[in-house]
Amino acid sequence: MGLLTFVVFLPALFGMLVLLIPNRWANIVKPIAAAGSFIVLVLSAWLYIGLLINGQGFGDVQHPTWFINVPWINATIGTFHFQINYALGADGLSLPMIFLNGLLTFLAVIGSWHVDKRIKFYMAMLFFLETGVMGVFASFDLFLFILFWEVELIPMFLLIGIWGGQRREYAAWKFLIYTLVGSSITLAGIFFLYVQTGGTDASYQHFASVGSQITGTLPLFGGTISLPILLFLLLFAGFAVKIPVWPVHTWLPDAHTEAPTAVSVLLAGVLLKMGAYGLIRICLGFVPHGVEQVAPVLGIFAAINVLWGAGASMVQKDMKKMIAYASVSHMGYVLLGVAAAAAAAAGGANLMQFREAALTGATLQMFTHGAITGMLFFAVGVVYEKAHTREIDIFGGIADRMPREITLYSMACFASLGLPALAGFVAEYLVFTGSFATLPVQTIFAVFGVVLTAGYLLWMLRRAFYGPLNMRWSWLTDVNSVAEFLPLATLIIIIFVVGVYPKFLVDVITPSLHQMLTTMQSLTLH
Amino acid sequence: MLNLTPYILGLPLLGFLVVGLFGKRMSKAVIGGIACSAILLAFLCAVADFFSMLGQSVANRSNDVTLFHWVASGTLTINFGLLSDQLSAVMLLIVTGVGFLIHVYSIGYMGDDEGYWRFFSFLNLFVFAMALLVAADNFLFLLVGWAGVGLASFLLIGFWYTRPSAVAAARKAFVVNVIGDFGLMLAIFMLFKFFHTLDYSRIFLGISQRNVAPSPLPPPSPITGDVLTAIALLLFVAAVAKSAQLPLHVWLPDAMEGPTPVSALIHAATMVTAGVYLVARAAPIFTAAPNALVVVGIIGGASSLFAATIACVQTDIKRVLAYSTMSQLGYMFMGEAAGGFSTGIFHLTTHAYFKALLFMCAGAVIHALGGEQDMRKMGGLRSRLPYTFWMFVASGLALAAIFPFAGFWSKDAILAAIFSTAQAHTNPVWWILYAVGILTAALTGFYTFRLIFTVFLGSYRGTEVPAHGVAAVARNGNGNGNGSRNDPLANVHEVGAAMLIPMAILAVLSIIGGFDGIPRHSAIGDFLAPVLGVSPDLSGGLFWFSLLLSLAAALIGIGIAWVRYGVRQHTFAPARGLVKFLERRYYIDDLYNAVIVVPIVAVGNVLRNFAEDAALDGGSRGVARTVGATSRGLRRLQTGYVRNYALAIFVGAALIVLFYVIHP
Repeated sequence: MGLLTFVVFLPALFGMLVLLIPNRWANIVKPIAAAGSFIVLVLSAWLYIGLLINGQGFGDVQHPTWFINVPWINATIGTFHFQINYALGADGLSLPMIFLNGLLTFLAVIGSWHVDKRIKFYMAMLFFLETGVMGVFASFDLFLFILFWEVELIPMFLLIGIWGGQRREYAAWKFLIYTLVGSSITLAGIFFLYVQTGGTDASYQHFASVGSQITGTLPLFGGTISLPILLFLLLFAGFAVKIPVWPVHTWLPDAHTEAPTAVSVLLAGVLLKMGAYGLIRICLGFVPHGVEQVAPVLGIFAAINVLWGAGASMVQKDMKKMIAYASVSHMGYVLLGVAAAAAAAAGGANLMQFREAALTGATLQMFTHGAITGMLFFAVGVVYEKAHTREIDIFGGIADRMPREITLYSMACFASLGLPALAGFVAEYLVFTGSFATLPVQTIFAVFGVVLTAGYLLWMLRRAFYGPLNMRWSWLTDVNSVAEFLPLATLIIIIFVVGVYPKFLVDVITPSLHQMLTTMQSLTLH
Repeated sequence: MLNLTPYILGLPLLGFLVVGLFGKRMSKAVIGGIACSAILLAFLCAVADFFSMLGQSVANRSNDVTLFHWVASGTLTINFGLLSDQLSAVMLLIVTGVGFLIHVYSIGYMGDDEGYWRFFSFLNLFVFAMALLVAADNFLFLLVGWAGVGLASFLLIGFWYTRPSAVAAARKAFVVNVIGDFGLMLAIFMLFKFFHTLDYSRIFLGISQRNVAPSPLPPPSPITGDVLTAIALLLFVAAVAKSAQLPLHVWLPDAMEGPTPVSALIHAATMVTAGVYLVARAAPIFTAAPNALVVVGIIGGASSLFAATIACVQTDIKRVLAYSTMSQLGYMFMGEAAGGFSTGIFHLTTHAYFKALLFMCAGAVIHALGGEQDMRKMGGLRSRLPYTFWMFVASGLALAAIFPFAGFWSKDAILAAIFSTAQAHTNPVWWILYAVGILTAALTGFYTFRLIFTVFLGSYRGTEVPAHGVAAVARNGNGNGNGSRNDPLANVHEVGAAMLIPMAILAVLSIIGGFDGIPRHSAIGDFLAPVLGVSPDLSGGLFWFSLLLSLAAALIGIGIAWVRYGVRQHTFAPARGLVKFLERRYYIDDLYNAVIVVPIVAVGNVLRNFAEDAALDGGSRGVARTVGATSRGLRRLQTGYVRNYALAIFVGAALIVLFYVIHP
């Protein structure tokens, strides 16, 4: 049945197992959860490293690895033939995300050691969430994809709504409504795409080979609209909410701020990446002409994302909210990379390497942003669990009391602001190198976001952690438990390794994207 | 040819890691020993490389090693490679050599500081980053080193992180430097767009051949002069930020918040010299973009004059030196702009000797006075600090460019290059720059000796000096006096050997360090010529005219200082008029605050309060409220909990999947 099936469903199995633990044995819930999520991590790492060592290559959408394909639902309703396969596979675009999901879920379980409220149910929800996200990245059937997409919603809604902060219900509902509205439009887009491409096959391979042949226009509101653009807009709606793209990003600061630490980590670390993944895999892969035609506008939205997020970060009073807006800003780089890769597809061989660099950078940014922002949220969590506040100005000089914590926190900030030799730089650099050649104006604006990022993150460090110690906090203690230290230490190591030697990620990502872009280019030239 | 460059980088990095990770549990002797020997060994490697290079014929002096492939994405390949050539050899000698002396000095200066291990690990990091910057063989790893230098300076300027002013200064330095990085990144994107590579050698080859033969990969659009001008100007933006030139100089004076050895390191061996190095390294680009060179000259000249005027009225001993650095860097850029790239590097080397020494002397004074930095509260220290005094004078003479001290030769080489270029060009700007150079020479003489006379001559004007270490005082802001009532200077004593020995070595270098660049027999100029080209020079009567003119200007400056501050006790009246204007640094900091910082924060507030909350969120909140209310109503109809339904749905879905997987 394939390893991927295990990676996808093992978490759900562990989730049910945890639920079955009798209440009087409640103290083994956390160890079991940790062991379970560690097994999934090892499996997902094996998928990645095993292939890397074997040198089999990671294939592309036409040649996925660990591929299994089993017919599932086959129904004919009137003239509408409905075919869903249980198809899982992986390539260089999805494998880094699968590994990241395994890693961050494990760290989230470890980082939730202090949670006591209905711990069984909490851990089970983390596991169900992991299954949903794994499924999104591993699906190779578009209907299966959207099914997993919806599955992920429920545990996240409950995690925010039950274990969140004071405004948790508001935040949970806002998250749910935004995502549902977006994903229902995407679902409509999926049906539309399915019909337009023959209506018999929902496999990724099928869409990837025929999707780019969609042409023509449709009448709309008395005018006409290009069919690829319409398809892109429909499909993109759900992804845009998830990424999130300005102006549908406002659910994110609330959800991030209200969610408990570990859930914020997963939300920023992997859930946002589902949107970016959908944008690349489905929009760019299946309706390339749609993306190509709107690419400059997409680039403008990317620049707005970057600058708007940075501007809003600058004035936040809550650390977590600041990091949430920083996420909005930094996900803009992903958007910019995709826009740049789609722009000027007809530019021929000269532009190919720039488009490839931009898309590689965008994919890498999905991974590095997950690691960096995850680390930032863990770091805020440590402070919050001790001090029970996250207000930047209320602190002052606590570096004196928490040297280890603040050192790690500062390192995460430097990674976030794109310091070379740390992970964020590699991704940003690749995106900008590529996008400067195809979308120079948007890029210049976006690069300016780097300056603003340095400004607000260092400002936060300065106000909250450095300067004279505010004696009110003289009782604070440093990071000293494994549960606090392990997530921070693991992530900073990954951030360093990727920053210094990104090749082991780039070598995996690029071949898959190369195929996508050459297909796009050859079709454009015809 | 011997190539030990990887070790020159590796040793300081190793020192940084060892001291940074384990330093907390080490004794101070071990920490100092590891950190200093890492840099000393790196220096010895640099010396070995240098002599090995001298043994080679000129054609074989460049050596490029690729250590590993960093990123290979399609045809975009970036390697981590190290270039060993004449320019990087000179820079590495300065970085590790002067860096080592500063490390030794720090053993004495930071001896009683709690953060001893942190300090030395950061110092090693600083040297590593700077060595990477000058040894990289492509622009990307130059950027890596560039940003690393920015990080190290941030950590060291803000070293005393409990002092709000230090933390603010650190952040200011970092953010201004990131503005420079912004320029460097854009330049790199343009280079890659037009040359399809970031390697120096291939880019420079592309420039030299751009009108001859097409490159293997045709660029998307031809490399025109405008493109090269744009790239050169973007590179110069980075140089301006790092080397503290107008208008991005504001971080440098504030950077004095760091411990004094840090100031010495930033001003002499690392950091600010990076901009000068960048322009020299990119000499082929700048040479192909003459309009950009004019901009470099104007910015350099303006900064040089601007900073010198401010230095004339500052009363903080370190700020005088800080503005002096900015002014001297302006000279280096003027020299480079005039085509004398090697004169810029030559002045960089001599400046490293005497500016490091000036800061060390200032540190010795501050150390002796228990943390006092205000010149108005000093005076008459000559008899108490005799060695420091004489070394201060030696480095001061070098800074003021008096024959035969080191600065004399290098400054003269720059002025000669400008003069010669002015003769060859019709553009009057070069004559103006030459005049600025002479005027600044006079101002340099004035402010340098104003400083020396005020601090060392006359009588002591301060309060009683407590018997506390400088670090303790620096941290607490003040100390408790327990010296003799009769002699406020009873606790003032000459610094220890760990500080004096590096100072003495630099004093020797300040005196003789310019002899490798004697006009028309310039060893350093000839050595660098294969990389940087031959600097324009003067001959015959004009040569002597320029030489004597700058010397006379400096002597006049010193003379005025003697009249005002030397022969009689000067009373410092509150500043007004022009002096006030200069003392407030032309109000540029205030202007930036009003024009940049305040509006950005205001825009952010508008985003948060209006755009986010009211406009974007208001609408969706209405929808959410409606849906939420409906859902709550629906939920009341049911008896169970949402999560149970969710679980049921999930389990059901999972079972269906399993069923179909097992029975297809």
